Amino acid sequence: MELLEVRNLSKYYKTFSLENISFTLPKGYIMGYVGQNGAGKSTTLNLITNICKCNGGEIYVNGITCMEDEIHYKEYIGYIGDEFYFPDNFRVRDIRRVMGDFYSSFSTEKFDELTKRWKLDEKLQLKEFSRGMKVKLMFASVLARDTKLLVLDEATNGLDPVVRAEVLKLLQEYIADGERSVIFSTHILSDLEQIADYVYFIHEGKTVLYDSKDDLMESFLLVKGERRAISARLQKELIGIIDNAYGFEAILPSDKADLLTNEFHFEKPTIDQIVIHYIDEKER
Amino acid sequence: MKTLYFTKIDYIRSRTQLYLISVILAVVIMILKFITDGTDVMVFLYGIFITIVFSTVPFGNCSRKDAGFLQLLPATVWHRVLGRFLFGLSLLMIGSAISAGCMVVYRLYVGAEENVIVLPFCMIILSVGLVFITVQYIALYLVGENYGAQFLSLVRMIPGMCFFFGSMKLLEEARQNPESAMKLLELISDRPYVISLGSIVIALAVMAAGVVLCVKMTEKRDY
Amino acid sequence: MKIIISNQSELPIYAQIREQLKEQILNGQIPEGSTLPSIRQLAKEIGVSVITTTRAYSDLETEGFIAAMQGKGSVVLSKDNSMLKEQYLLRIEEGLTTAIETARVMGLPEAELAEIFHNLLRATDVPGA
Repeated sequence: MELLEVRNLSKYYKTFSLENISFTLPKGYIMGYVGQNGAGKSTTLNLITNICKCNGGEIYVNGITCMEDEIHYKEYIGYIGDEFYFPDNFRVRDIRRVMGDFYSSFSTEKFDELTKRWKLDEKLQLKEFSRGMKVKLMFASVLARDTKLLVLDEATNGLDPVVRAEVLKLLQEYIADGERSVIFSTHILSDLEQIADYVYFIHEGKTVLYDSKDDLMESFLLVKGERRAISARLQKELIGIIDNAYGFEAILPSDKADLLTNEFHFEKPTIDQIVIHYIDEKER
Repeated sequence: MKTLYFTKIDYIRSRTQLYLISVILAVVIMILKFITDGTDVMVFLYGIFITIVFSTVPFGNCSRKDAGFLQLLPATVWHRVLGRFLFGLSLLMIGSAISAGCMVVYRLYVGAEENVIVLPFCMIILSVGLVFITVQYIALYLVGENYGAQFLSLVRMIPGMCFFFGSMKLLEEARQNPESAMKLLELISDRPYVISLGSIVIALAVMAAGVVLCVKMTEKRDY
Repeated sequence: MKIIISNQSELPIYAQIREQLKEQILNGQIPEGSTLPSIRQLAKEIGVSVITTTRAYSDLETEGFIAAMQGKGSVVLSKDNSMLKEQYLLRIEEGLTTAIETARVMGLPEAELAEIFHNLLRATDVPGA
């Protein structure tokens, strides 16, 4: 069962366009949405949450589009942005009140439990909150109700490692029953490397790679060696050859490993390295 | 119901400013005491002026980043826009109630003669206030809910100012042309209820049209 | 049951999980008939993706160590199972091969090697077995 289905999504701006984005995310899995700043990550996520309207394509969340049933569509989604979206002069109790008003599934007990666990001050105006507290409050407001899909736009930005680890744990707990999914964009790729099931890699509004994370990481090798040792055939297969004073580094599809002689050193790459070399190749 | 919840959000956002209305009016009464030709109607006028200015506060707190919160609430544009207008309407009601209260205080404190046309006069002021709020909401929705902040700091005083100084100008005019002013006053005192109710009905109709217009604009808006 | 994931390892994470579970099943730390944590439970506990643990379990299934039981989860199979037997035999052969190779290196006669083997068997004899 697909929880999120994106078909031929397009969005045109004056200076940027998102073209033909298609992917599916089954129930109970986490997708990492990767790319540089300005690659179209936030645009895609804003289209999914319907903050922006697309110029073409369809988005289904739990089988419905926003056009068909706006209210249910929005109830399925829990969104956490890179910016804090609650008004500055609100307090925790105001959030509780407003969420309780609007969402039938909002559980005050769950919300209180989370805000207490994270020591979020009831009486403080939200503008006094630190970045970590703000992110926690957004999580509390979303996790206290029954959602199907979490959309996180750089939600772990500016968080210290302890809180970040806690957030990752929360995401895993969220999908643990196999009924709910998460899509999150980030450029802290180590987060993604740990818990993401699928990776979607976008560059300048176009799809570059889309696969399960394990397959993606296995389908490439990180190759290092001396530039002059590269044969013409190998040159064609290497992706994003980055030179330094004493050698080069590039990635190579694993099925071309037979082109490597023992002059080269190779190892398994991180997602970071795959992304860096792919972008280098694209920008050439 | 969701419409009212949006109104509630607007009240939470502008609660500090709400206390200010009464404080400012108290100051106004003090000042008017020292102005020889001040009248009780001016207290009301001033109260409505402040209310018009404060009715824009929810736009000011509303920036692009709030979209993740307000626009994602499970509701339609209708709920959102109507809720905002209801906020403006109810705020004006509260504002005029406070102003009316202050008028009474002014009478007791400074003293003013009983006058039959005060009530219809206030109703007309109220109607004009409603129309002003509608116009400025349309202007703010036109620039966009989410881009309102900077624009707002520039323009939020303008409609209120126009309202206040326009009324002052009218009073001045009335003083210089006592004859035509008298005719107008007679007209009002002839049919006080028809005139006051009529002006309120017209203002509400203008506001309803404003809601429809703003919903259409917002539905089309994209970022 | 314990699982330690190393990021330095050349082995992919799913293989690390698979090998460590296999090891513990073979040496009896995870007894036969016991139920492994669910795929999602395990993923959450050790902080890896669901697809990764799914793959580790499905590898263990094809190798005959565990079986997915409807409503029960993944159960460690009995050691009588033929596929598992093969795995055991393989390990025994590996161990003995190392012994034989070491003996060859030092030029130990076959008879002496056999004697060591028998002595050891007797020494580690389980009473009553």
